[in-house]
Amino acid sequence: MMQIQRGGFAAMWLILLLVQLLSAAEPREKKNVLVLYSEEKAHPGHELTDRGIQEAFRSNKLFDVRLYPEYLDLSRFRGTAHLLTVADYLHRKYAELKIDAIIAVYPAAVDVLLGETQEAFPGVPIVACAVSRSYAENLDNSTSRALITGVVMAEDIAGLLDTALRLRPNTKSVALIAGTTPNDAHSGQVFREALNHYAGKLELIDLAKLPMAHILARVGSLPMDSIVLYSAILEDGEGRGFVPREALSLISQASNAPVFGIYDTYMGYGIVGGTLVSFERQGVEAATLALRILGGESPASIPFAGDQTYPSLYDWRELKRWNISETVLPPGSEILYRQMSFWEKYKWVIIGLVALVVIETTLLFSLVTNLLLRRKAERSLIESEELMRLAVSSAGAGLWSLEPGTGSIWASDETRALLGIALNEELNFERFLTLVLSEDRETVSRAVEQTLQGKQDSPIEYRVGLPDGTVRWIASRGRSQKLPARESIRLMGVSVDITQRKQATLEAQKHRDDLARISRLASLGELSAALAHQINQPLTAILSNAQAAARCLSKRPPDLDEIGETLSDIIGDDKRASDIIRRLRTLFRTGAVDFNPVDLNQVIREAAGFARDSEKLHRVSLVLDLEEGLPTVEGDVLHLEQVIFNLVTNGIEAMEGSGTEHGEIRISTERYDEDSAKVSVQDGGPGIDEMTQNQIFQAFRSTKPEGMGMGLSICRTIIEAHGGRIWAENCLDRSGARFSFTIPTRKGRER
Amino acid sequence: MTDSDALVFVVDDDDSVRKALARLMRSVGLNVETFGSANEYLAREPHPGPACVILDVRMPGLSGLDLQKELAASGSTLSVIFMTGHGTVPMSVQAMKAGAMEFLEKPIDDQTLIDAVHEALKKNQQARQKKAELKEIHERVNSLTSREREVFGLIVSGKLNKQIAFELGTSEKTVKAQRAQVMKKMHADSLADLVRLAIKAGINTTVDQAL
Repeated sequence: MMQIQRGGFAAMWLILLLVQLLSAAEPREKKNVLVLYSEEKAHPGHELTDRGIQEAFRSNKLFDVRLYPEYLDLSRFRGTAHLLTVADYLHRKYAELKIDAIIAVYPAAVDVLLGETQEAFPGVPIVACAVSRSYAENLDNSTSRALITGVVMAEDIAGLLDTALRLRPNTKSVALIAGTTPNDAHSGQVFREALNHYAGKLELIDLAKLPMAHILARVGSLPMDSIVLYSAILEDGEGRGFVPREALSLISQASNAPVFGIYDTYMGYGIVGGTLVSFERQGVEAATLALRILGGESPASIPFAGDQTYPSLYDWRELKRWNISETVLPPGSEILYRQMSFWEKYKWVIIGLVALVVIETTLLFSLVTNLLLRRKAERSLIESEELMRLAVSSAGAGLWSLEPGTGSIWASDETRALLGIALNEELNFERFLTLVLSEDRETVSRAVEQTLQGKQDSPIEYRVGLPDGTVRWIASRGRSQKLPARESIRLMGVSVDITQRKQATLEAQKHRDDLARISRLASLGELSAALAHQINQPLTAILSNAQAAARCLSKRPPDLDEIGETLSDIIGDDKRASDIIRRLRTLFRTGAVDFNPVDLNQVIREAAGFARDSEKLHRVSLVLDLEEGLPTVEGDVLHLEQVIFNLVTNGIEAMEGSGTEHGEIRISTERYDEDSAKVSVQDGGPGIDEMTQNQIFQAFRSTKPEGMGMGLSICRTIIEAHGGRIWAENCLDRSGARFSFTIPTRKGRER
Repeated sequence: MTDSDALVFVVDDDDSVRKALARLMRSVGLNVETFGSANEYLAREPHPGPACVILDVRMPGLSGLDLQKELAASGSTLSVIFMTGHGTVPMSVQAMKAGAMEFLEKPIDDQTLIDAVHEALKKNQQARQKKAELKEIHERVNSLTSREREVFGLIVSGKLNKQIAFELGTSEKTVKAQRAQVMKKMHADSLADLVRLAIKAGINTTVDQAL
């Protein structure tokens, strides 16, 4: 489509070029046209007419017309001598030149052509320009018509008067101003005739042929409701020469009534306006007729032209001066010289300027604001960077970033110090991994991968080997960050030295383990004493029975029944002993918590058995108050027995300390809630004071002189390992303390 | 050597031990009675014949040592043999000071125990005899008049009749008669015999007063 259009344009251009070539190829015929102007060259009407003539000839395509304008100055030089001189001049001047047509402007020039210079241009066709209709009618009927045609200047005076009356409906008198030259007289006559039609309606004040001073005086004191009709003044009553429109200008300024004129040359010099005759159009029309004649037409066959419609023009300043509303002007009127107010004139400039100022100001303001904001932002950025740096360095933290694509690592000085590498050493992920202890490398690699996938946000802990052979624990935390510029992902993070914390943790763990072992051994000491006593009983029985049996056998006859009974007792006691030994073995087992389904009541019965064998219990009675049908709990029998044993021992010691040696210790079980069972050990001691109550389960808190303060701490550790809770309280109904703990049931634990 | 009315008490909270020890005692022809606790034993009437008690140190309620204290307080001459699963030195010292015959570690060898029991019964027998003798002497002392007791005291402190008469403000003749009465009432054949009785009865026999 575009191609076709371009092709079309190209073709058109070619055709245009061709036409131009062709027209250039055919040379226009040369013609000489003489133009005779009646007045001097400065005459305003001539200027316009000349312009029209030149324009019309220039735009014609047929002839190459050369113009010969002559200004006859007939108004200023009115004597016969001048006429003869002019005729002689023209005759001599154009004797050798073939003139193809003559345009004569104004009747005066036509008259000279038809009279004094008749012989100078014999047979040359003439176009009369800007002549009145009556003059044209005279020519039409004369013998000269064969060679002459022309353009009538249709001065529609009646129309002008109608317009004047339309604008000034109350007009009662009309002042007519005209000069003294023949042209002036002619034109004044035309006005006078037109005014005859209004005889009776309008009073005529005839100011024709008066000296200018008189005229000015008269127009300054015209009666109310007058208008001035100005025809033309080339020369006033005193013989003083004027350019008509300049005379008009003087008159209009002096006048106390609006001035009307018929020629467009007057526009802007003091007339109100109306349908104005155009001298330029006269020139154009005349040239057009001349071209027709040059083209071969006979002047006689061309009727007088001049029915042109002229534009309706008004002077805005005069309308204002005489207070004439624009609404009364006939439709299609054009108003010239409109003086706009400063605002009207410069509206857009002002709006533009104001807009510019506003825009500039806004721009400036936003720039300044922007600058201030930016400064503020920069300042706070610097501050926050400072703070960040301060925070990071005071925390001993190192910053780093990793580009996963290249594996290159940027590390802050602190990070490098942490890793034990030089400040200028090139660092990448490979090199970094060599610093990490081999056991931790996989952890680190996996963490990096997962962080990149956004799966990990928690810090990792790993070890690096330092050049001096020591090992440093480091905690690192990273976060992946999308780089919009490169559409890649970067890993940024912080690393901290946690060696001390780690060591402290490990040491604390070791301490705890040691203490637990010590306390365990301590309580094992007591437990084993109880067990030793227990195991001695069957052993004692076995030995005594065996020896009794041996003595029985030595008797004659031996009592076999007695011996049989003795042996079965021995077997029973032996089984009892091996049971105790089995339990003793588990007691010294040091393994971790071994969870199994446990009958809590059974545990308590066994523990109570130990406790009864403890030498401490011989003054205290142990009462069991166990709820039947307690749900099975999940736990380590040995550990739970130890808890019960510790609590009972604790109760006994409390009672011994307070002198209530023959009291009672009550162990009870009950269902605590849906998911757990509760065990309580209640003593008859003095109870717990409030100060101690909060710290009672802490290690090394002991109210007993020889106590290590480990018993209850161990209890808490064990119960919490079972997912239970242990607490101490004072009995409300009687003296003594109650220690209670809960243990989740199997169901509760699963939940 | 053993009296048929001798009796061995076994106090232990363990049924089997109790049963086995009783069986052992019976195998050597000793009468035996067993008790599950100290209080159970204390509830029993005292045995008139020779007896001893085998006590477990550690028992619920009243311990063996407590029971020993109770017995001593009631003036019992019963010999006590202690048994313990794991006796400690302070425990055995305390028991021995309180007059225990033996402190045996379980399990106990039968011969050791049987010897200890026999020894205990023998000691009990002697103690019972000594106690009976002392009772006789005290009865004799009690049969003396107050003047005769005064004379008795002065005689056993080694004073002559003349010295006694001077001291009491009577005649030597009166003293001589009272002295014969004391010898008679105390069933003493000689001055030495009388002094031996005085010592047994706890009467001051020192001669310091004469000097």
